[in-house]
Amino acid sequence: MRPTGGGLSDTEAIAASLEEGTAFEVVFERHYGRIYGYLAKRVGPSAAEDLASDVFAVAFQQRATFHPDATSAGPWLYGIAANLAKRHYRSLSRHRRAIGRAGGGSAVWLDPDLEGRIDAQRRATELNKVLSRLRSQDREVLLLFALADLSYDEIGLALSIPVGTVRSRLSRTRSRLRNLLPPEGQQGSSTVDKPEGGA
Amino acid sequence: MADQYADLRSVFKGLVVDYSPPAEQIAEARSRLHKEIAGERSTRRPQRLWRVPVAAVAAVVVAFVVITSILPWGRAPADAYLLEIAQATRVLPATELPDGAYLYTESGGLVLGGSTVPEGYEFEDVVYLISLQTESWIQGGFQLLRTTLDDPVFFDEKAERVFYEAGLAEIAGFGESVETAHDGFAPPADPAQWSADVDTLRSQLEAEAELAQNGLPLEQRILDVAFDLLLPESQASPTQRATVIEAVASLDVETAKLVDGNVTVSVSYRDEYYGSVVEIWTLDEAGYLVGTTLVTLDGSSDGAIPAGTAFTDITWSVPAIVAEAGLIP
Repeated sequence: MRPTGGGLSDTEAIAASLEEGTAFEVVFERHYGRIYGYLAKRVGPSAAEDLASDVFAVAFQQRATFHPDATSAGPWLYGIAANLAKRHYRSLSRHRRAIGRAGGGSAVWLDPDLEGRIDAQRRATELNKVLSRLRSQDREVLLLFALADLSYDEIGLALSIPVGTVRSRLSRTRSRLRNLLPPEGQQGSSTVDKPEGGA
Repeated sequence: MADQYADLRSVFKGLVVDYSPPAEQIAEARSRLHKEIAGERSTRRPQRLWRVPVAAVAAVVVAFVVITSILPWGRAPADAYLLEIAQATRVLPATELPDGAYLYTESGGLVLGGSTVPEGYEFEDVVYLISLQTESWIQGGFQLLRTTLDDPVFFDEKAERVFYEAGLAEIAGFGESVETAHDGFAPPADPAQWSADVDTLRSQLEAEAELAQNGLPLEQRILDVAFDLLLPESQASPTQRATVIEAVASLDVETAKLVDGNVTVSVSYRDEYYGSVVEIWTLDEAGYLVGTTLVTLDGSSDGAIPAGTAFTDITWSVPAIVAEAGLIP
């Protein structure tokens, strides 16, 4: 990605950062907001603060693995973010291990203002139930598609899978979510805007 | 071209909101990145921890046979026991869970617990060992969990007195058995996520461990990820368990074979709070994790936990199949 008004592209900035680390700041300034937004939808705005910060620390440490042919660092960063979000839920704490809770946790952070909205609560409960039963790789594809608005190509890059696999996973996921899909002709945007702190 | 899966985005409509990072959070994250950049001394990647490739492990096993045939008291290479278990596990039949049946697992032992003490006492918090037993019934994403906590064991008489005087026992629910049911269970050993190829799996374990920011050494984190996959409730197939054990076998760990055929894997590391820690995992001959023990050799830095304390000591039973949630095999 090359910003309007000139400056280094992501690829150029990451390549330059191998010699001079501060060049990586370009990547941070360009992508931090969107990565935070994606993580906030998955784990909540509070937990997203640490995780989003972790994403860029991990990305900086692993920047030598960034593919030089990639046009944007976005998918790569979303891939790291998806892994960190997954880890957030799959805690490795020995206490959790001891009490037998190897899984659990909601796959997305639902709007706290759902309280009192019976229909939305019902849909939210059903959605989390379906999400929890999806295969983890199907769930990651769905969340990058629905919450991060990535294209099939970008999801493929983020998760290092072929585009055909992205499509087949979305197809499989749709069949699992069919009861939650809106009737034909009633599709809209995936989310509503809410400022930080509104939760 | 219209997006054929656009309707999937609509599922989240009205349920998930968009957030923007507050300015102070952006500044904090930027500051952390600056520290990361400043702390980097070179762009070299850390050395890979895996000691030798699989082919070389085979060579080590051959060398072991030769050496031990010459030296009758020669010590076995650390990974030989693990490769033996992996080999035995790989040929086991997979456990099929019949429709409507539940996977039953059970664990029990000691874990470290702690409580915050109300104002007015001489301690701010107290630590103790809790004896707990858990039973779990899993079917798909459903899990019924029964947890029983026994009375805590204290390291210090004063702490014990404060604990009971402040009424913390009632809050913690000791002596009670609690059942919870939830739909969010996700077995960690998803075969779609973890490769059955040992080289690929090693890379996956290392990548996963690098993401874990829990302060432990990387090698320790790799073992944490690996042994999670060997938990009975993880539902890993025999092939998966064997591959995980082969991956662990190529790490620099100490192993020992017990009289019952189980094998222990142990590592030691230094922790900021627990000081020198020895961690021991026990694998059974079917490749399941059946025990884990953590011992602080130095005692905790605040003096609350004495030197030599096993602050975690858990055992797991082998999984069983039952017809109903709540039934004990």
